[in-house]
Amino acid sequence: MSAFTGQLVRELQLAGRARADVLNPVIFLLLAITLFALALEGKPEVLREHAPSILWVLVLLTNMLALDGMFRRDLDDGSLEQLLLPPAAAGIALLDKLLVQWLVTGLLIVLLSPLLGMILNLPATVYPLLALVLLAGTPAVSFIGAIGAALTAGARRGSALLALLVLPMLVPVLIFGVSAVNRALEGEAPRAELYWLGAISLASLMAAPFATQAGLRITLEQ
Amino acid sequence: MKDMLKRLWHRLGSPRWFFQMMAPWQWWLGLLAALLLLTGTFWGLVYAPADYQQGESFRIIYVHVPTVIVAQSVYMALGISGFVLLVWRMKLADVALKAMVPFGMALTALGLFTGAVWGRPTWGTYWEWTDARLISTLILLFLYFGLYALRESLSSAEAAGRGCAILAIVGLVNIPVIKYSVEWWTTLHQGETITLTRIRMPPEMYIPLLINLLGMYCLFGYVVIARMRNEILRRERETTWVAAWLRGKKDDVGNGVIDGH
Amino acid sequence: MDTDAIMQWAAMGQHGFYVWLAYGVSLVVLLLVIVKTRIEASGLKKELELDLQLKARESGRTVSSAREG
Repeated sequence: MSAFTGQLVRELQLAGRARADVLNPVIFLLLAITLFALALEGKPEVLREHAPSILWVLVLLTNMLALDGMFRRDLDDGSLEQLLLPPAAAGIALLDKLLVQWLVTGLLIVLLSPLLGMILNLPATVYPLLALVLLAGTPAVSFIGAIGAALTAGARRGSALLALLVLPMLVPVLIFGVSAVNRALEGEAPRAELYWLGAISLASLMAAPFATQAGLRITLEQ
Repeated sequence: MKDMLKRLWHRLGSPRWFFQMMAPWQWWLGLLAALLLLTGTFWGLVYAPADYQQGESFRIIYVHVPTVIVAQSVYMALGISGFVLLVWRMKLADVALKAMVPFGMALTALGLFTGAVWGRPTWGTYWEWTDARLISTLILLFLYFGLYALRESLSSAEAAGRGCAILAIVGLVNIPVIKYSVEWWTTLHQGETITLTRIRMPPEMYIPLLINLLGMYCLFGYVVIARMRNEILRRERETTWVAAWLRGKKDDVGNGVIDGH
Repeated sequence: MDTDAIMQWAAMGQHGFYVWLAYGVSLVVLLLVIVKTRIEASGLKKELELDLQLKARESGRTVSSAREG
């Protein structure tokens, strides 16, 4: 257990040092949302109407950016093998890396969601539900995305390939996420959607370590 | 029975065995596919009654439904091959994985197209973004694209094979979604008219459908075996058995050998 | 041959365009798949036969024992 938290802290420290890698995706998200606000000429009703869709698509794309280099750095400096070394149950060592990935992307987005809601002219009453929906859905994006990142870490033009592989699998998250925020806007609690998002996130949390490990082994073989 | 299966399993470890043993299967499946598809199509276009509500556009079912069913079966076969490849490292599994992807891709795209063409006169629209079955089939198409792209992008052939295996297995989740989405959300696709236990269509309508479905499966068999044998030739080109086979081909001076194989 | 009846059948009660589009494209796609596979096969065969001939010539040149394939 202490090894687990120890590694977690180490990964967070690494992330803290690689500040650009952490902040760039977030800056992209803010920039892209601003672009939409500009492109829609700031019309308040239009922004509010399309906010759920715009937000979720951009969350997905932001994650594509954030996931892209997830394993490439370790591959380049040779520390990827060490990730796979621990004899402990398959994938536990990777769990740290996956969690940190979500902490610095998904959780960050959840914390920023009031700001994002403001830019998209969402009523403040919706902010808590918005944060909850993002909290339920972003782990799925990070974990499923990590599988793609592991497979494409050593591939040519890995970034485009990552998007092609991962985005189709994230369509259910997109659909439920958008539906959830839309229902929140109508004043209802999006229970069904939240359950689905949570279920997908949990399922991917369980499957990702194994799939990621398998993918990394393949990447190392190249 | 168990010994037979064991022997079969061992033999499947040999691409050469597969290449030689499956040659007649390839031909018979191809022939059967042609016969079945011609029969089913002719029956469906000419003799089957038109649907009471949909009219003549109903006949598209005989080409749309077999296509999508087999497209999903191809993906399931991909998942199984991927599993076999990862667990038992069977070379043939990688050959199968590579051979099936383009065919599955073509069938899925065809299924989406014929479905759209059927949708227009029948339900008024080519496409509906809120129909779960349409969307999950579109996702299936993208999964095939992804498998193709991954195969091309990974530099070592073995890595490419196993990477595709993982992707294929992960994507298997989509298959039950396609099947059951019609029960969870009903937009365009009606509830199942055909399950394994009940059939809600009269026989004059569903028999040509079954014939075409069987024909499409035979076509799947023919194409996949042919492509696998091609791939085996590519991979085993340096071996003596391939050289012997080639020489055997040259010695057969058109002596009733069905061309090409 | 009752051409009227055949024309009527082909019209598919106003849906003719759709029905024939669906069947036509299906036929083309399936044929393409089959043809492509067969072309690949014959191309491979020719290529490998050429390879074989080249190697036979080479090993004929070197006086060492003829190596199969």
